[in-house]
Amino acid sequence: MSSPQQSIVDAVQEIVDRQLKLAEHGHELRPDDDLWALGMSSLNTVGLMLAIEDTFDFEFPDELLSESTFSSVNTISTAVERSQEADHGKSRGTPGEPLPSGGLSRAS
Amino acid sequence: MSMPGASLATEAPKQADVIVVGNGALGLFLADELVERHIGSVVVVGPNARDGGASRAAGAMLGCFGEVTAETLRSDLGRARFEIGVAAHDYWPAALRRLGEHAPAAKPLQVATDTDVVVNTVSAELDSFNLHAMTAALDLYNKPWTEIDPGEIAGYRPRPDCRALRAIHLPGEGAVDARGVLRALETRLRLAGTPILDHTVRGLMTSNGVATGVELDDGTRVEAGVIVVAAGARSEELVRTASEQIELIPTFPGLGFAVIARRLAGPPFRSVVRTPNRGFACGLHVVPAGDGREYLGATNRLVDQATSAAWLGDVRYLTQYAMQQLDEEIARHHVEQFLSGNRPVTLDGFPLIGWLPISGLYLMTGTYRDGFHCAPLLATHVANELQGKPGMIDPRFKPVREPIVARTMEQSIDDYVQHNLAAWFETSAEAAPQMTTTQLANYYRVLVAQLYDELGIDYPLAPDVLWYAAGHMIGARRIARYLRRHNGKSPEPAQAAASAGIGVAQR
Repeated sequence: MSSPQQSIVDAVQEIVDRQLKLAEHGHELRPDDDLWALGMSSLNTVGLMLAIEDTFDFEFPDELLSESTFSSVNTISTAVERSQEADHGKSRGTPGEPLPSGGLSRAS
Repeated sequence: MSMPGASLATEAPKQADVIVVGNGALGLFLADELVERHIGSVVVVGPNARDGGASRAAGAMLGCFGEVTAETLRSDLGRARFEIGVAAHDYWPAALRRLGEHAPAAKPLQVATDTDVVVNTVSAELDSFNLHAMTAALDLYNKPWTEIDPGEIAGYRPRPDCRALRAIHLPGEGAVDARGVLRALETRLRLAGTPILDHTVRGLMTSNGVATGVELDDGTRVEAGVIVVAAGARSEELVRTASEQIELIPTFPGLGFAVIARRLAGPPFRSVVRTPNRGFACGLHVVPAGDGREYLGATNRLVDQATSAAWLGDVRYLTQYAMQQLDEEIARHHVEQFLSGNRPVTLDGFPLIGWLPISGLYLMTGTYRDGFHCAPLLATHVANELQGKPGMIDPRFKPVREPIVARTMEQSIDDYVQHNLAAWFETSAEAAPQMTTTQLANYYRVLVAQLYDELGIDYPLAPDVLWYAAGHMIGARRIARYLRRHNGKSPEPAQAAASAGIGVAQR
């Protein structure tokens, strides 16, 4: 599997750093750091998932919502790329376009 | 599992006046009511096996006061929901008279006429809070109850370290044989010539904003002018097949596990014996099931998809606690049937009952653990609405609405903490000996505050929904996305807690 785009890795790294407050606690995050070993909890992954989906304007496919997806910046970035590819195949509005009032983005 | 002698194989008609989607208690009682009123031709659609259906797995306690918790009457809509159950109670004598002659093997459909509620030390203080709320509600509604010696309860012989601190007797609350009632309803409908189609519905058919019929799982189409979706935890996905534009309050399957077992030794239970609701669930209970059998229930956990697959952990949880907390002889019971069903649990905990914005399409779900008990009354209500007559329940339970706020954030956090403590002690979880319960409570308090932060919402959720969101990313996302679209909250609860003496014993 090819490495994810650097721009995605950079954006994910920034979100992870912000959500987990790693720099605040003096840790310099690397893309292959094991986030679970750094103290990330399953509750943290909820916020992380939502922040990443908000930033990239997509939803992770259900099958990617697993512990392994959120192991590191690299694994998350790979999942973002896969999700974006899957998302492009769907008949949904242009990325960033507001949903119709009262509408659903997709069955979840 | 199909029931012997209840073959309902029926050819699908091309059209009907009303299609009821769902063959649980809500769907069958409604169909029966509609047939009784001669409103036209009725067709019921639902798989005979009822795999994962809530009604088939129900303990069918005809109880509403036994279900009362400290949060039941906190808000005016909580009170309105509770009063549906109170009123439903009065519908059962007539329903049982009507159904009695169709009972399978002529066995009584009513299996208990009263309930004993026990509070033991196995759980945490939540049991005591809830019993207090229960007796206050009984007094408020002028219902009889008596404090009793737990040792007087027939069949109740827990392990000494699980013995009760208190017990109360509720003479008005019994139970019915859920599976017998469903069979009797089917027999009645069949005798009236009502087709009951052993199918699932693949999708609802519409044309220009009007409901026109249903498509069955084999591709057969049945047309009708009115379609009532009463498919429990599957209802929401069915409504989506009609329109993606209808945004319902999210519904989650509340998977419950129960056992029917035959007693081999010791005196049997004669009444429903239960703990108060606790630990995110409906309390541990035993219901006499006739012929020397007993129904043991029930677990509850919200899941992403309706399923009949319970965890072995659920089996362990229920059976271990039944033999410890209810009767040690339960360890020797012969298992006759494992039951699992999915209760339709809405995000705000309130039912979804009313017309949808597609002409001719009506929704009847979201009844959580009260569906069976409330079914005869709700059938009357829905039949009235279908006929254009005044309804009987609060119209604010309409299916397209903002989520109802029934608690404050502070109450939500407190409830979550209390349920966790109840589960902690009931499961014999252990912390370091020097850790106090207050410290444990604080740990859960911090945890739930973080959960709200991560979700980015400030809508006060019920403890079982919080538990689900904390452990299930799909569910957490669904909850967060929905509530963020709805600004995360609704106005403050319409009425503060503790009005009219709730929470204060009035004896």
